[in-house]
Amino acid sequence: MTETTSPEQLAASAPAHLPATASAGAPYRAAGPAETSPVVLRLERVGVKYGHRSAVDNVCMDIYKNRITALIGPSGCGKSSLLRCLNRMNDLIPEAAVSGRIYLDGVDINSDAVDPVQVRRHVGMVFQKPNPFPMSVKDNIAFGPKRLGLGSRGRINEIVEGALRAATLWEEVADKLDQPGTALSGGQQQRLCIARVLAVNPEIILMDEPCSSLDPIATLKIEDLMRELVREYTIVIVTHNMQQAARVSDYTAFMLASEHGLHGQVIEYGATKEIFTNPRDKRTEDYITGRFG
Amino acid sequence: MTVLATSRRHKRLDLLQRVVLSLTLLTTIVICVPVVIVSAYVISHGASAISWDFIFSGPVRAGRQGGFFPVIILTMYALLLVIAFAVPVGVLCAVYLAEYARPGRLLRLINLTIINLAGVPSIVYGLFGAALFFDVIHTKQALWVASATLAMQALAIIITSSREALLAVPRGIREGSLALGVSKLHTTFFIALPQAFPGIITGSLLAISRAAGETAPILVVGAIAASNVSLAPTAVVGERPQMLSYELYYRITEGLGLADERKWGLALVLLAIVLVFNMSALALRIKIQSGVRRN
Amino acid sequence: MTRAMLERQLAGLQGDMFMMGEMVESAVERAVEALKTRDVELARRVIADDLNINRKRYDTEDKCLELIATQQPLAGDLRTIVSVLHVTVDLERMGDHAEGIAKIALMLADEPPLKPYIDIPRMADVAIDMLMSSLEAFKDRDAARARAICDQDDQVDALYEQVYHELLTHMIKDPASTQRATYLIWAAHNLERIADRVTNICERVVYLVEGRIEELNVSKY
Repeated sequence: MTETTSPEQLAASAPAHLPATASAGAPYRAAGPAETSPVVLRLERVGVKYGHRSAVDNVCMDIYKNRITALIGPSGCGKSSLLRCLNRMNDLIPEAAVSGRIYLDGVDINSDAVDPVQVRRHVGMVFQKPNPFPMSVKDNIAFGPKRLGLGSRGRINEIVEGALRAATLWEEVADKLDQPGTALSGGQQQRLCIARVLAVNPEIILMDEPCSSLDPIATLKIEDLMRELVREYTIVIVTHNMQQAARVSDYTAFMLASEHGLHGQVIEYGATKEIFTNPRDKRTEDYITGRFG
Repeated sequence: MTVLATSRRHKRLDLLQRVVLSLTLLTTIVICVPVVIVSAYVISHGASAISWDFIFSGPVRAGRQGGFFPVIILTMYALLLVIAFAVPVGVLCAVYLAEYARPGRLLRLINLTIINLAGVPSIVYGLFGAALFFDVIHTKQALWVASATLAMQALAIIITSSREALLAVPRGIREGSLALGVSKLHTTFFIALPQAFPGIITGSLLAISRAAGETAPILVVGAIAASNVSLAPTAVVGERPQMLSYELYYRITEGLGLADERKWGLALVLLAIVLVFNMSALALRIKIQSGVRRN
Repeated sequence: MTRAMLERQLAGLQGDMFMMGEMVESAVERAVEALKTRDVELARRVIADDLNINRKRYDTEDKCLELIATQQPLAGDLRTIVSVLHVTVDLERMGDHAEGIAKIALMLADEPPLKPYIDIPRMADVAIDMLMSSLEAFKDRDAARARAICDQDDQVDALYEQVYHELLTHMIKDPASTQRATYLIWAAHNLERIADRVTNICERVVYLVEGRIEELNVSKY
């Protein structure tokens, strides 16, 4: 099968009548001249190693503000590992080592000088399996603001309501605020987790396969929610559901690892419409049309 | 032969199932029986001795009349001390081992050592306590020395069970908290610990109730029988230790003419204390879990 | 496996399209033949057969819709299905033009021809050749060939102008022949339209291969 390609090889393999996508080491410039949104996250040569195993290699890409960016690829290609770099959650894994630079609004969040806890206030995360705290709905949402000292009790009540409204959950739980968070349905729990993240007002929201444990209706509700939220936030989503990536995202990055699940790289990154109607790399086309993975 | 007719094989399996079920039921009964018998015996022999005086007044005529209040109250003080020392230290230690220590061979060694410590015979603890406090630190004999020795024994159990309880907290809610930008400290104390509470409480109370029943350490540290001891809490610091377990041992072996039923009465009181602790552990655990559900 | 089924369905879809192409080829050939030989029966058959061509288009369209709904195709597969959808529309219109020629053959059958038919059959040959080449280019995903076919359209246009001027001259010289000359011009016009439709097919082939629409038949005016 395919061996890993460096950006140089990738550029050389692009069809002749299209401009080369990247030169050696330079970031992917996915945006055409029409993209007005600024770059909010810039990844330069980002890599993740677990012990001696390299899971992600040399990823360069830009994430644009107020856009939904999707990471797709077969299992084990490193997309979750890459996502977890963006809020330094890989720090929690002792044998994980993250290399490269990740610029959030110009500051390299991967440097030792930056406190990971601070990073996570600006970059929130929603997980694959909803994980409400064993507390009431209200306490779940209020937990973040309270612990981070975001205001008095009155202010926190406002924040709770605001977050629940933003997550389109308010109508459904307004009379159940004191019930345990775990008593809600799966889809509601996931929206609760989203509201929880919104309550601390991050800039970027990361979502790691947020709908994979939900039924189709709940999935669609969350997708609608994402399109609402992206007006104020920037969203990066990892999904193995290609139709979801096609429905929901503005930009899509296709990742692929080598045969042994090593050296995951971004093979192609561009506007979702282009990726799904006319991808440039054959591997992207093969993956999208189901010829492998 | 229809599909529904049971085959011979089916009948064999069915029989096997029933035999195993009966065996398990039998063993359960066999285990419960001694507990019931012992309790019934103690109650029946000691109940007659129990009276208001027995519990709340001091000894008269070297224990032949009156009550054993000093021993009882000082036992309570001692147990309180054990709780005050062993539980916070044990839980904090468990927090460090479960949350902050770097995984590796050293950590595994430490965990193994603590588990082994829980199984060390209590008389060894007594010996160690005596050696540490009398020979090395040179304290005067006092109740708190006994408490400290018992606490060391309880510590191992509390650390192990608290560690297990913390490790059992699902990773998801921890990650959920950290992903909000909440610090690890807050996550540990406001998410992990509350979730681990039932397990911690149960483990601690069981450890304490075991301490309540230990005779050997008290023996070695040098308990004395109840007599002319002040009842004020300061007795803890100044006087020689008194523990119910030791008292019972002393009374049983002294051979003085103490009415049998009074010895049984002491045993009943000790049993009752242990029972109260265990019941509290259960009740507390249930309350916390339903409280969590309600909240 | 889902992919195998999709491959079969896509192959079937394209097969239907090629079959439709053959039906159109046959219609054009026979219509022009009926015109040349004044064969009324043949002309009637061509007109009746046009219903089959129309039905084929709707059947193929149905299959395309079904594939889109059930398989959510993407990238190359999606472009293939969309292209088939468009090409069948073009083919159906070409069938209509062939039917038009057959109708004209009916109307001209009772009298001898104004002049020997040379250019009109030539136009038909070129148009048919273009059609079959374009469908082969579709099958082979050959964008270069598709572009080349469009050059042949100039040939057809030139022939049409020739026919037009000849018949115009005829009408001026012999006003009685005006009606019949006009019918012949229409027939030639139908053939010219058929050739134009083929360039649409070629544009679709380029879209299929390269992913973008490119105008291939810019008028020389």
